Amino acid sequence: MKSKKSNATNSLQKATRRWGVLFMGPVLIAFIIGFVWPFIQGIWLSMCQFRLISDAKFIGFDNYVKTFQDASFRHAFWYTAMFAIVSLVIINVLAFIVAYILTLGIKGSNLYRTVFFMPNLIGGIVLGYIWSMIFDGILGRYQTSILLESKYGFWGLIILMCWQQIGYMMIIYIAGLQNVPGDILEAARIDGATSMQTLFKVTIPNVMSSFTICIFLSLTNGFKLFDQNLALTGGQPFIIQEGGTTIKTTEMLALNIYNTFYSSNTTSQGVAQAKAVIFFILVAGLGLLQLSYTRKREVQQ
Amino acid sequence: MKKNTISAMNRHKTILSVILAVVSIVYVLPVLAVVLNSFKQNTYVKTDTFALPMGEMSAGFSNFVKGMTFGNYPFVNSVLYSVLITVLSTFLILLCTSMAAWYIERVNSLFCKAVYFLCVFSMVVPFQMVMFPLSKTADKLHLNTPWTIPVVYLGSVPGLQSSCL
Repeated sequence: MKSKKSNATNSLQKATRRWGVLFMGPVLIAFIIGFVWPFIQGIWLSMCQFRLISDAKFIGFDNYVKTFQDASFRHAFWYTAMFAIVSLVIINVLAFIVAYILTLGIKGSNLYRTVFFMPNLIGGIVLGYIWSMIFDGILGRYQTSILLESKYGFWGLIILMCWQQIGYMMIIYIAGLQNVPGDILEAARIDGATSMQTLFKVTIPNVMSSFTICIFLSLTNGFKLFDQNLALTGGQPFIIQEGGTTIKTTEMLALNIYNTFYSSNTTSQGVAQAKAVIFFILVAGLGLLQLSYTRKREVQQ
Repeated sequence: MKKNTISAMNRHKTILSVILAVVSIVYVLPVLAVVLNSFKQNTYVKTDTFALPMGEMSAGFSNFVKGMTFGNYPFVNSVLYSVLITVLSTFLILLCTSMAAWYIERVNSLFCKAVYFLCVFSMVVPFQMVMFPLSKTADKLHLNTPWTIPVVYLGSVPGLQSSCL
């Protein structure tokens, strides 16, 4: 090995390549089982009618047509979009404010940081049950419940997500804020900029990369939210429409797909897979769009 | 003049510190409520969610004992399975993905680029997309026991790992 190191990189590559099966093999096999094969199968199945996978029958784009006719899916889509945008704004604004205050050098910063980060360590399902207990404890005094009105469910979920996510985003913002070069801030102060001007004209452009990451994370988290939604309200309250279709008013996209998969309806698996494909295109498209848009506004140092 | 601004800044910082202290306490309250409720009798959790578990409300540690041993699948077993899966899959993921990442980094072939792209791509795919086929595939390959699930995990996470390196 040592003698080969002195040779050109080509021969080193050749030597490395000989061990390729050993190095790449395990991951590749697991990756194919865990992602590639299910993904391809998923796309194929979205155009089939099936109950188990072995009885799949090709039916073209019927599933997609059914998906767009499904009122509960449309409702879940708008509900999710609303939720993602509202939670995105609230989480990022609050997280940035907290991070900004914590980097001013006040007493006990470390303690506060720990406290704000703590909710992140609790899993989603548990969080949902904790908060449903708390909300019911509060709303129970007014003879109502979080399961009875969809606006309680919506804001309850927002509060839950803020409580969980602010700490995480705050850590990213703190890392960004600590990387703002001190000389720029000093120059701004000497030039007589007010603290507000410094914040908006100097600090924020310099932490734009943190904003990119945080907005990307909270947007995709909002769209992909599942555990908390399932545990907090499970889609209740339900509205039964004239045609017999049930609309679960606080059901988000991921939960809608899950419910369609495991419903008793024998033809719904294909529809659910079609929904999943649409969901994937939506999430991936949004993420890429957002990334390319914010990248442009970052300041190069 | 200068002294004034410094003392004003210090005052601001103290005020901010106090505000944050209050917010922090509010932040911890939900966890506190859960801990308190874990000592309560079942019926009082709904009616007196925020009361201290005193007098007849208190259930002592009976909830904990019951939780650990209740039903056909006691919580102790679940904890053990979780530990097993976590340890095994962490070990497998660290070992295998770092090997693969090293290889991708060193060897500059089309194949490696394709694998790298696939790994990054797998990060944006929501779980619901692969959920149903994955569960069926895992069933078919008999990967659905606590001892073999780490293999499935290994297949679902290399995106993050390999892009970190």
